Amino acid sequence: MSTVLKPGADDLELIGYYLGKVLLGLGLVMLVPAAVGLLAGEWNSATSFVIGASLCLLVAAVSDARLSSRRALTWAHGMVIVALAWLLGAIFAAIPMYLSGRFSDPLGALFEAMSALTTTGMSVIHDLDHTPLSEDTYRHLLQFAGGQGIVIVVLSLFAAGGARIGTLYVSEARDERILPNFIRTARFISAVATTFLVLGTAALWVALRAGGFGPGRALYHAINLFFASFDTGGFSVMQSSMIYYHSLSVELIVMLLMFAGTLSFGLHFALWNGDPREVFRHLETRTLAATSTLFFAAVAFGLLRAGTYDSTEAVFRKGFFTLVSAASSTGHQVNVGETYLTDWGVLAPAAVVGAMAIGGMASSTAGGIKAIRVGLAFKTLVHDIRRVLLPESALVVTSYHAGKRRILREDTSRAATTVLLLFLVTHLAGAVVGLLYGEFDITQTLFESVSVGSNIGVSIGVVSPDMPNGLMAVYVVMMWLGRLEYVAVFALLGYLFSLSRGRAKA
Amino acid sequence: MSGAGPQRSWWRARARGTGWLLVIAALVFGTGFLIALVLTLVMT
Repeated sequence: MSTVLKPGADDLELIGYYLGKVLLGLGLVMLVPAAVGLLAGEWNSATSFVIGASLCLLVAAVSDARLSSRRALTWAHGMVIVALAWLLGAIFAAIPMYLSGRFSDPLGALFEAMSALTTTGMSVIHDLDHTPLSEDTYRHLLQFAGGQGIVIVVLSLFAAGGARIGTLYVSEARDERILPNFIRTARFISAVATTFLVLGTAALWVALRAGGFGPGRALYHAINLFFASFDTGGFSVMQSSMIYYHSLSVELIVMLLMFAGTLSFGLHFALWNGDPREVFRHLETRTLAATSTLFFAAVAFGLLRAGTYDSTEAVFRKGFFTLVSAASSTGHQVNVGETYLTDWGVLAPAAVVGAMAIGGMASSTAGGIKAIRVGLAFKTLVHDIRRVLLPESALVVTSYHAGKRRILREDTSRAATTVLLLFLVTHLAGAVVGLLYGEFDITQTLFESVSVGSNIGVSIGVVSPDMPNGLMAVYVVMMWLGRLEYVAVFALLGYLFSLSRGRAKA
Repeated sequence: MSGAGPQRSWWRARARGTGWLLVIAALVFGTGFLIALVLTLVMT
């Protein structure tokens, strides 16, 4: 007889209630591009957003009316809600995209929506350069919502607390509680984002105006560049990404925003409190500093050896920017994708793949395995080596600094290395699936698989509007898994299993 | 009670946070530039 308890109707109602709240948030987000479309006279686009928003708000209203609950959430509920919220959110977010007619099929729209929400930044849209204002606004807003964490956005706007909302916070792969209350933490995150929104957009506007942009066009590009950079999403207004701007000052400001986006919100809190030493002491900072320095040295060495560039400026603007884009998991490109395959040699792209795999910091907008896990895996290795070398009777204690001094425990090591392994397995599996189509070689499929699975978005050219549908579907799943860092998805699968095979509650 | 005290500290916190971020970013970008410079000089 199964020992797993079958979820009851009240459990499913509770999950449905919170999913309704997420759709409420999404529906309200859609009203912004709807308004932009109406103001700009983009009637078709405005209609598709009104339809999308109406569907979201209708479902939200029904769930609020029929499923309303103040029952406390268990961890299982939280995990399932977050896993389904990201999936359902992407499906509903794809509706206005598909209705816009800019995608070959619904799968393309779903890919774009998932790419936006997970801040991957890969795009399969047709004719990006001529995308209506409202649709571009929508794509970038989705990145902002996804980068902040859909659930966190909803919590900070709609939650009244008191329902163990903390379980949702942690389930969304944010495990830092910066302020005593999860709601206040969510609001602090919003405050940081808003500060950079104002400063970053202003700086970009000035830089774009200096580059010859008109005031309105400069503002439009500046706002969208901010959303894509700070939320480390990487969507661009133009097909040619950062190449379009031909501006060192724009590139520097964008790098700064990407850097700010990859810093964990806990470290932002330390800086706001005037404690910069916390940044330098933190295990993640040290891990990222070490790995990024090594990877950039490899990129620069590889580029110079391959003869791709021969000046410091070129190596810095192309190589360093790409490395920051990869490490921060943003995905902005200063090169056409095929360049990585044809002109960059072997070492430089390999180093970029390594930076993409690791990604940025936990509890930031960045993706990837996360520096904390890599740091903990390294600490675990050192700990095990010391245990072997020291006498059997010796007590081996390894510590690290993450907010405060912590002792490395076995469960922490295991959790970090398990997720690290899952990422690596997924990257390899994605690469193998890409090879099955016979159109791409291993360099292309591995590069793209790591980029998709770590929610980076730097593309070597595999992802395109004409890519095979099967591969596109696999990439959608990989983006979803990567954003949730597997745990919530496994909890969902376990929940589904218990629904079908579990023992009914007494 | 005047709200100027808490509000001023809120703005100070933002300025502090942004300032420190710029300093750290300058260190990071400066290191990157240095690596690019040294390697270019050595290899070209």
